[in-house]
Amino acid sequence: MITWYSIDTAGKLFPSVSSNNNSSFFRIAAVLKEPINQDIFQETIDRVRPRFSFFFVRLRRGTFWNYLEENNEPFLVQQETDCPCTASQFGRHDSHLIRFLYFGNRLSIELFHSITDGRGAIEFMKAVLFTYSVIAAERNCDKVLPVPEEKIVNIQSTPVIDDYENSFLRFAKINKKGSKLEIRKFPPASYHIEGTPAAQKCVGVITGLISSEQLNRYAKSLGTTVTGYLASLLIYSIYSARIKFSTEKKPVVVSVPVNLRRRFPSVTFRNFFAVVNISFSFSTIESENSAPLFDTILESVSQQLEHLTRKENLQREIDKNIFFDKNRIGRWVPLRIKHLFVRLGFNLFGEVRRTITLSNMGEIDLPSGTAQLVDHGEALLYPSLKCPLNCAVITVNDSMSISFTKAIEETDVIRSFFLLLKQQTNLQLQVYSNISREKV
Amino acid sequence: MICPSCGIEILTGKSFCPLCGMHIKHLSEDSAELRERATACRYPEYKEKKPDTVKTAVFFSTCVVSIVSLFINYLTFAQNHFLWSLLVISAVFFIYKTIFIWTSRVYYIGAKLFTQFFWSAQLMIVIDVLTGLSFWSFSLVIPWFSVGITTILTVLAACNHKNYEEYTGYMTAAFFLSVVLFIISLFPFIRTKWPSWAAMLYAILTVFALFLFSRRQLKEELKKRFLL
Repeated sequence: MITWYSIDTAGKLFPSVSSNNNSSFFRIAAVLKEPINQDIFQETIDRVRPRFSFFFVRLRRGTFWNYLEENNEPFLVQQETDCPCTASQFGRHDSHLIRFLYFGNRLSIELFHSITDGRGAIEFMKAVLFTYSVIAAERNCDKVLPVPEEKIVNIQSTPVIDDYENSFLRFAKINKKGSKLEIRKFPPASYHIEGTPAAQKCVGVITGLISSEQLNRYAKSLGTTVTGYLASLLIYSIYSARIKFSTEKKPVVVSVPVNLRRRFPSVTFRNFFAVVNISFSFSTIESENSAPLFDTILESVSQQLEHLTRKENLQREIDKNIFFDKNRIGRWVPLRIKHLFVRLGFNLFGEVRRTITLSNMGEIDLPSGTAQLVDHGEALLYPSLKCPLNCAVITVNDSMSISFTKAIEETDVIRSFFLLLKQQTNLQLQVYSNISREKV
Repeated sequence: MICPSCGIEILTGKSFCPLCGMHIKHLSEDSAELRERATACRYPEYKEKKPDTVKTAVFFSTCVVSIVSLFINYLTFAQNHFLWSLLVISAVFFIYKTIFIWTSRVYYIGAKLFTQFFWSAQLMIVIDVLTGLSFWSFSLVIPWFSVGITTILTVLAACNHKNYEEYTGYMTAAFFLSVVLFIISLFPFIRTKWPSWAAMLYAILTVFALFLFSRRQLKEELKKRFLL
């Protein structure tokens, strides 16, 4: 019998909005110290597959909702030949929602957002890296194998319902009958970064590597968190590279996904995140304001982040998500019509109201035996037409990688960001990219 | 190496800075560790995507035939008051969609059949409307299409027992289609009612057989397809 799973509340959005310009595939990668061995990688995937069977699925259309169905096709690791985070054509027998890629020392996993979020992907990546290191040690006939620790999912265990539960339903406090929702005024449209569409629609990647510990210390010295500091720097970079030279009045909005598992005790591998929008309007700054601009941004961003990530505000986000899920009329609308409305709503109220996404996925905390194999990690977010520049941050072994993904040719905002980061922190920063043409 | 313009250390085997595009020189004093890290961080040279010229050419031809026929029809409308161009447009788009449906790897066979059904039905309706609207499309042709699609799905389900539940979802959809045709046949403008009623009866018998021969998974199959 074929196993199937309903898609969680947040994941329902992505099949409707995904297209060639907005793939909804994100990537978690690890750059190892040695080149990837294809056979070991394949064996790793075959070994972890039974434990993470709820990721090895295909997207199917139901009458009212999409659902996920167990995919019995083989999942083969492939050498990377296409640009990162490319779109997939759903409905094909061989269309997977998870891809395993390798090139040189890089081991990448690309996941469709309907099956998991950043935290779920990190837990999966940890299990993959640990298993990879065990198989590599076995093949090398090493006497000491990497020791599994509690922080790694035991791949010998069997999946339980909690692994793929829709935690939004569990923690929602919305009244199922009344479904009252506080209707707030929609925020105004945000500033958008525009540019020349990338050749071949290929996603460009520019990654910067910096010491996590030292950056953390620096952010603390400013009285904020790493996410708060990076979001402020991002806003300031957009200002320095673009807004300073224009008469633009719209606010810069940085969308920050927040892992809800920290505030609500859930162990699900499915989506369980909320997005908070940090906004800063340059038109409201008084000219006689004596404080340096960056300090003003930093103060505002830190305050907003602190306020928006309070439990009561995150609870409201959960309730808001579940409201549309539980809406009695909406549930009976056929899927095809739902797709049209969801896409329209996403373009009008989602994409238009954010400038850039900054996702700090946290740390890939590996056992020491595995950690010594890994040089650093990478996280890549898919860009879209309206938000052609996104940023994701991930940390492995004290090496924090800040990766920008772009669907435009211009690199001015990214350059400005890294120059400011280097200037302000004075830390060692190394940058690399997948851009293969000289004209950037 | 360090980009002289940005002042940032760049890990690359290429001769330009990814941030500013400026030419940079590989220095011999770059440490082995740095060179090793640059090699580890490299990406592949992506293969160029080839545009689907055949598909574009077929679509372009379809559009050309449609526009030209519309134009000629407009010029000759005074001599011949017949909108034959609409017929041509429907027919060429029907052919285009048929080619697209059966050459595409995207759809499942049930989905292909249903998409084909809807395009065939729209062509029949257009012909019916242009030839005097006697509702033969609704009363005769479309009900027989419905019988045809149910039969094909039944045969497929019987031959491919492994995917029995997969087809049952589509067969249930075919049943609802015949219900819609039955409701349409109740309107007075449909004079010949028996084909729609026969299609309905055939669908009822098929669904009855479906439940009779189904395994326990059928309930689960219907649950996931009609998940609320």
